Amino acid sequence: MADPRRVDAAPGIAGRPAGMQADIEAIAQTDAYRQLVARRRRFVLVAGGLFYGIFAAFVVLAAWAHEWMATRVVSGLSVGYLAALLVVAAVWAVVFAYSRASVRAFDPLAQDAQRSRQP
Amino acid sequence: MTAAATAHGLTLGVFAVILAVTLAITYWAARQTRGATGFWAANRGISGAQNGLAIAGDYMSAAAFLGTVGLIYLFGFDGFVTGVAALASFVTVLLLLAERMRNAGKYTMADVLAFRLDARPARTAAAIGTLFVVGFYLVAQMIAAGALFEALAGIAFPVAVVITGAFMLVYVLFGGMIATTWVQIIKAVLLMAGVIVLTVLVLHRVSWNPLEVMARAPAHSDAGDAFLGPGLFFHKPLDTVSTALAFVLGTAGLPHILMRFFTVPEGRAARRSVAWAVAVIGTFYILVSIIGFGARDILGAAGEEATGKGGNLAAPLLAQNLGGGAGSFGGDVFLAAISAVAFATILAVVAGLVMAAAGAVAHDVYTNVVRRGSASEPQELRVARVGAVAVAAVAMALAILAGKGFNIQFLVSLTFAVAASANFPALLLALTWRRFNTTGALVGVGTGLVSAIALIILSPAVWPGPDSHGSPFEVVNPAIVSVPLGFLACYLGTVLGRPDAHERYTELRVRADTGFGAESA
Repeated sequence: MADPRRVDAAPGIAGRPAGMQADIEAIAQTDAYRQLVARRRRFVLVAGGLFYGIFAAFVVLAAWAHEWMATRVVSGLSVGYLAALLVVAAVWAVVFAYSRASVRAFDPLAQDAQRSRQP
Repeated sequence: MTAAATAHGLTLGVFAVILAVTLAITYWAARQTRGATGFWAANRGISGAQNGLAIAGDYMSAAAFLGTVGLIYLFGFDGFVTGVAALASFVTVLLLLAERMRNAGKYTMADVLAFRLDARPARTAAAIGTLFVVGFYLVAQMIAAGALFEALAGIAFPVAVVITGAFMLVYVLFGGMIATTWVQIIKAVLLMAGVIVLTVLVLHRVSWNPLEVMARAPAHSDAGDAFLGPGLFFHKPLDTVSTALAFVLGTAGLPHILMRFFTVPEGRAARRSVAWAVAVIGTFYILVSIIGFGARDILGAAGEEATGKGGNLAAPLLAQNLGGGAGSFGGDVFLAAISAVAFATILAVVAGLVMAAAGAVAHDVYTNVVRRGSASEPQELRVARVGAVAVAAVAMALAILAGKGFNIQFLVSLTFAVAASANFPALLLALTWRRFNTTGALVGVGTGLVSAIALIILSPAVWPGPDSHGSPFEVVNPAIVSVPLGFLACYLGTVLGRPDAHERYTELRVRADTGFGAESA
């Protein structure tokens, strides 16, 4: 079998090594691959949905709630600025959570899928 | 010698040092660059942390630094909104694009579309989208560079544009992606250092309490307490929503940012580069907001006129003030240092933009569309260099014709609106929707591109006259209409068009999800 890591032609161009298509089909059939796709999709929908919900709320408040966003939480800290800092913190939290989930779950499943394909 | 001439001389001196360092890097990079993978993807030898810094250097433009400080100085809170939206975009980049693009692509954004769709038309559409986004942004950055160079170093605008273009070309032509990457890394470090020093100096005056900066700022504004809330820059709610939409989706569709993911060895490093990039960019925007509010406290309303249109000179003038004021040695040194950092910022961004444009011209259009994949690597690289020179020449000519007074905010809006409406929907759907097809991609990219450009022409920035009232499209950024149109066109084109003959979605997903068969160095 051709070394699967060598793909000489640019993607989308004919001339992939023989046997690659069979490998792809085999990986797609593994339990590990199905689990990888399902778990990653769930993560993306939950974490992405939560994050962009927070972001959308921030934008809607910045667009319509001018006065409330300008009120002070404490002297020198407006509701708007605090909300912006929370969005930044939420970006960092999602990135941290995804990185951890990848190392713990997604990367091992991706490796399993390639290892356990039936040739 | 007058005080201004001394300050200009110092600025030029610091800038000359930075240019000398970047030329040394280019000389070193030229010796490391071997073949197409070396030129386009830095031999895929950039680590996750290095690439994260380079992404930050590629993203943090003059608009992000000088523009954000200026907008916060002039309008308070609203200046912070685009930065938060751009940062939020990296969540999409991480969850849906970074690893997948690295795993399934080779050198350009178009590779991913061409992988599963009918390769030649899909690649052509993606290349056109790339060239428009990169072209608008390049002209905006060149105008900014020329205007700054003239204001801060006393060099005439057209000469300044040509100097910027010449150095950008030297990096790309001789050092390719390796030189571009290291110029971006050094720039990111310099910019962060500059921003940290400015923040420390601002905080030093208020006994290290950042809240004190924001407590003092409103007293120096006619808006009073409203300065710490939204609504002073974006007067209409839809302006806020539309601009935020353009930045949150557009950043994920910027070809020069996405291209950076091909420079790392594998998918995990692509993921790590996003983590580093958001750490740096998030910190950058928080510090920039403190600097912006600090500028309001320190320069006050009296300083508004000197900072120019959009407050672009607020950061350099703040530095001068903190260093001891105009005419003092400390003030001159600080002004020179921050000005030089701003030039370095622009150089790193334009080099990345020219790499992306050259990729669209040579790798996409020439090698894979015109030559149907039969071009040799030396042929592709020759076309890449000719393409880079051509793109740079056109951008320099347009920047000089437009002149230093041209409204670059309009070009930046257009860049992000086109990236969000044309590039992003097609890229997202190609990676996530099984049924998506070539017709959908072509109609989607075309509709997104045309509607974004048409709407901005009808908007207050252009029609019926600069910043005038009574334009047919009243919102400052077209994204709120053109993004839904782009997605709708992708959907309708897919549903009404013929399914592709060779369905390769499964293969794309398996490779994108697992890294199987990914391009190696």
